[in-house]
Amino acid sequence: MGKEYLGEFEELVLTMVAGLQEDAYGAAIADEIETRLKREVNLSAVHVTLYRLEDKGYIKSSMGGGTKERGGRRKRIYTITSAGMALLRVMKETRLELWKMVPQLKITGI
Amino acid sequence: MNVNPGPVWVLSILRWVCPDELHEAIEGDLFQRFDKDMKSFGEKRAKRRLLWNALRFLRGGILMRNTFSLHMNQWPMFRNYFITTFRHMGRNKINALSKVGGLTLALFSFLIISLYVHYQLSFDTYHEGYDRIYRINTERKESGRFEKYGIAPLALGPLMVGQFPEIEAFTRLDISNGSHVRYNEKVVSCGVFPADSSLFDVFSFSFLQGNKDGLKKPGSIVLTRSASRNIFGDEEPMGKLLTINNQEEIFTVTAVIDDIPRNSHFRVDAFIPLEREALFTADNIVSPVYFLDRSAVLYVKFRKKNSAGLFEEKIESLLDRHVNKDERAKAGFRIFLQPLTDIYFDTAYKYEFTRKGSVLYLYIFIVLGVFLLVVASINYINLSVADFTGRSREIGVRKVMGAGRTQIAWQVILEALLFCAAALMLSSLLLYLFFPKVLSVLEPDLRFEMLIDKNLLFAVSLTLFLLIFFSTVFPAYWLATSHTTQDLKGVSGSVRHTTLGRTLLIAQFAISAICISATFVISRQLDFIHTKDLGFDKKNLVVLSMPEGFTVAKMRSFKQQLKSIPGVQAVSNSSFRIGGGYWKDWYEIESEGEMKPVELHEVFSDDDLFGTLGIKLLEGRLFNADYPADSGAAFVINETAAKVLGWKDPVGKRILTHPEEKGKWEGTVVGVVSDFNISSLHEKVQPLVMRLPWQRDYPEYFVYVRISGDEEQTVAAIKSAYNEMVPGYPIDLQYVIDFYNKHYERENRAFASMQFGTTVIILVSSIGIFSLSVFMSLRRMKEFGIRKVLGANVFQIMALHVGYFLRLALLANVIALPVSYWLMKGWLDGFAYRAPLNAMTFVSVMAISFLLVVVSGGYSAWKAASMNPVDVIKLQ
Repeated sequence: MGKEYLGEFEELVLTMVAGLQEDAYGAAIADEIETRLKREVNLSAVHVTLYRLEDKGYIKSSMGGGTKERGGRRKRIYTITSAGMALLRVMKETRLELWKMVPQLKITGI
Repeated sequence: MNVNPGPVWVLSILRWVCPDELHEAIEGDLFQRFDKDMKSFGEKRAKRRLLWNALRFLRGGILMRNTFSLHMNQWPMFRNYFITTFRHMGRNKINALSKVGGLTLALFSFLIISLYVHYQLSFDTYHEGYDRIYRINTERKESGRFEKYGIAPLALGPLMVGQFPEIEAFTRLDISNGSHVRYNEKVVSCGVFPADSSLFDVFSFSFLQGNKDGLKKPGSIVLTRSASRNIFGDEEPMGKLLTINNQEEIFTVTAVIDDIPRNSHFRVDAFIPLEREALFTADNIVSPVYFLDRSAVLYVKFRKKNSAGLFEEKIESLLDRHVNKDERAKAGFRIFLQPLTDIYFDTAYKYEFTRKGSVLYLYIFIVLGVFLLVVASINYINLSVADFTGRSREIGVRKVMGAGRTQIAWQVILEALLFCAAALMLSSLLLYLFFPKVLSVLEPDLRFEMLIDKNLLFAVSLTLFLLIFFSTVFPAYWLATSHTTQDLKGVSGSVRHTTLGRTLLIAQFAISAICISATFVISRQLDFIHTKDLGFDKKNLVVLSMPEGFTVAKMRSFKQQLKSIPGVQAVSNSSFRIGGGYWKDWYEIESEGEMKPVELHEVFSDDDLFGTLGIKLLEGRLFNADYPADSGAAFVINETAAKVLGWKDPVGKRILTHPEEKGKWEGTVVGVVSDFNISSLHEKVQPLVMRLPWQRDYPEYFVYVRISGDEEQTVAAIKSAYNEMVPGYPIDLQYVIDFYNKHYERENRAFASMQFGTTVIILVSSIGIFSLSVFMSLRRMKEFGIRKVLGANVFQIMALHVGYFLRLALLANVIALPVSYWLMKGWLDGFAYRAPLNAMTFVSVMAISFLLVVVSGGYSAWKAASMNPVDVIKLQ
C-alpha cells in the first residue's frame, strides 16, 4: 500500500462510488450512506471528500444529465479509477489479514 | 422541484463562493436534497435544512478550490501603473509634492502622538499579572469632608492575607523615606523606601545581583542599578555597608535590581525592610495623627483576575471583627480597591505615592492625532481627485482599452499606497532625526525603540490602512463609475465631485480653526500664568530645606552667616515651601462679639519673611522682633482670610488657638497682607493666618534667600555656608521660579505639542489649498479669459477665485468657533485664575484662517488673473 492512506470517511465514499457505478454523484452518495449505514452525513462533507479523492486520482468525474427534482442542474457523476479499485482491494485484504489475528472464540468482558 | 427553494441570497453567495466548474453539481445536489426533504419533513423544515446544507458549503475545502489566476492577470498592469504614476508625478510636480509633503507631515506627527499615547497607556503594565494587582485605598472623614487616601493602615495587609486565601501576596511601601545614603565619606542622594520582603512577589523587578530574598533580613538594602552606580561607581556593591540620612543603623547591600522602568507610577532608588507594625484599632483610623503615622501604601495581588468586586464586601466583615461599625461610621472609614493600572490616571488621593498622568491631555493628544490624519486624508482626497480629473483622458483611454472597474480602482489604490509608503519612510526618517527635539518638548521618557512594539505597530498599521482606505474609496469609486465618453472629452469632474470636495474642505477648515483657537486660548492662559502678580516676587529667590534635627541656635547663626554673603539681600525662615503647602489648624476667632471655631491654614515664620518675599502690607503692622509679646499674641492674616472670616476691619480683632494652653496663643490681628499664591493657579488662594514660630526647640525648616548680583557666585557661597554648617548632608536648594514653573510643566508641554500639531495642520491644509487652487485656476482658465475679455480686471478675477475658498472658510468658522468656545471654556474651568475668553480671540482666529486662504490661494489667483486672455481662449 505504500504511503497511500485513506481516512475512514474517504474510504466509505470511495466504496460508495465503486458500488453505485453510473449513479454515483454527491446527493445519491449521501442518501445511500444515510439509508444503509443510518448515519447522518452532510452534503458538503461528501462533496469535499469527492473532490479530494479526485485530486488523489482514485476517482474521475464527468457531467451527467439533469432531472426535474434538481431544478434542471446537471449531475457530476463519479467513476472509480483502476488506482482507486486497487487501493480498495488492498485495504480490504489488509483488514482481513488483521482480522485473522483476532482470536475468534475469546469471550471478553469477564 | 415544484416549490421555490427559499432564500435566494444563500444561493448567490454559494455561486460566488464555489468554483464555476463545481457550482452546478453542488446546486443540483442541494435542490435534490430539498426535494427529498419536502417529501419527508414538509416545506418549512426542508427550507431550513436547505439553508443549513448550503451554508455548510462555505468551508475551506470548497473555498480553496477557487483558482486565483484571475487576479494574477492584473500584475502586468501594475508595472504600467507605476510607470504612469511616476511619469505623471514628473509632469505635475506641485501636486505630487503636496501629496507626499502633506502625508509625511501628518504621519510624522501621528507617529509621535501614537508613541506618546502608547507610552502613557503602558504605565505599570510590565508587571507579571498586572491586572491582578490592586492598591488598597481608604476614605476618612476629615473636618467634615470625605477624603480619599492612597494609604491604608499598616495592620491591614497581614490581617487580610491571613483571612483571604484568594490573595496571592501583599506588600506595603512606607512613604516616610530616606533621602540620602552615605558610603564611607561619600554622600549620595537616593530615595530609600521601606517595603515588605514580599515586594518582589507582587511586582516584577529584574534582579541583576542577589534574589527575591533580598529584603528578608533586617538591615539589608536593595539598590537599583543607577543608585548602585552612583554610590559605588564600578566597585562591587554586594555586601557593602551604608547608612541612611546620617542615622546610626547600618545597612548591607543584599541585591541589585534593574532600574524601575520609566512607565511605573512610583520611582524608588532603594528598598529597605519595613519593620514598623501597628495594631488595627479604632484609634489608628479615627485620629488623623495616628492614621497618617501608622499607615503605608498597600498593594495586593490576587490569585485570579476580577476578584476585587466581591473582595470589598469581604473586607467589611473583616473590619467588623476589629473595629465596630459605629466607630467606623463616625470616622467615615471605608476601604476600596483601585486597579494598579488606574493609579497613574485617576484623580489624586491624599498621601498618594505616585506620579500623575493626565487623562485630559491624553485625550487632547488622541484628538489631535485623529485631526491630523483626517486633515491629511482630506488633503489627499482633494488632491488626488483633482489630479485624476486632470488625467481623465488617461482613465478614458484605459476604459476604452478594456480596463474593468476593479482595475481602475486598483490603479487609484496603488497610487495611494505608493504615496503612503513614501510618506511613511520619510516621516520615520524625520522622526529619527528630530527625536531629541521631541523628547525635550513632549516627554523625556520616550525612547525611539518604543516604536517597535507589536501593539503599537498594529495600531499604526491599522490607522494607515484606514487612511489609505478613506483616501482612495471616493476617488476610486468616481473614476471607476464615470462615463467613458466624458472621460475622453476631458470634461469629467462633474458636480458631485465638487460637492464632496467642498464638504471636505469645510471640514478641513473647521479643524484648523478649532486647533488655532485652542492654541490661542492656551497661549493666552499660559501668558497670564507667567505674568500674573503672585503677591510676592518670585525672581531671584532661592529656598533651602534644612535637614531634620537642625536647632534654633544653629539656624540663627546660619542666617547670620548667609546675610554676610555679599549677594544676599535678605534671609528668612518659614514653615511653608513655595510650591508645597501650608499647615492647617483650628482657631477661634471673634465674630459678632463671640468666639467661633474655624479651620485655617497657618504659617510660622520670622519677622523678616514679608520683606524677603516682597509681600505687601495692606493694613496694620507686621511682626516686630522688638516686642517680645508678639511671639504668642500677634497674628497677621491675608486678604482672603479677612474676606472669608467676614471681618470688615480686621486689625484688633481677637484670635486664639490651642485653648488648652490657656492663653499662650491668644492675641489680636495686627496686620493684613495681600494674598500671595504659593501653589499653582489651578487652586484658589487659601485663607491664611501667620504668626511667629511657636516651638522654640526646632526652627522652621525652609530658608528663603533673596539674592542679587551674580547669581552663580552667590549660590555657590550659600552652598559652602551650608556645607560648613551641616557637613555630610547634601544641600536641597531650589530656585523658587523653577518650583513655580514646574506646576505648569504639563500645560507647557501640552501647549508645545498643541502648537506643533496646529502648525502641522495649518501647513497641511495650506499645502492643500495651494495645490487645489492651482488646479481649479487651471480648470477655470477659459472662464477667466472670457471674463477678462468682457472687461473684468485682475483684482476682480483674483477675488472671484479666492472668494470661493473664503466662502468655505467662513462657513467652516461659523461651525467650528462655537465648538471650540465650548471646548476651551471646559479647559479653562480647571483653573481658579484664568485669562478671560474674549471675542477678540475668535475674531483673530477667523482672520488667521482667511489670511491663510488668501496667502495659499493668492499665488495661483494672481497667476490666473494676470494671464493674457488670448492664450487661454484660443487653446483647445
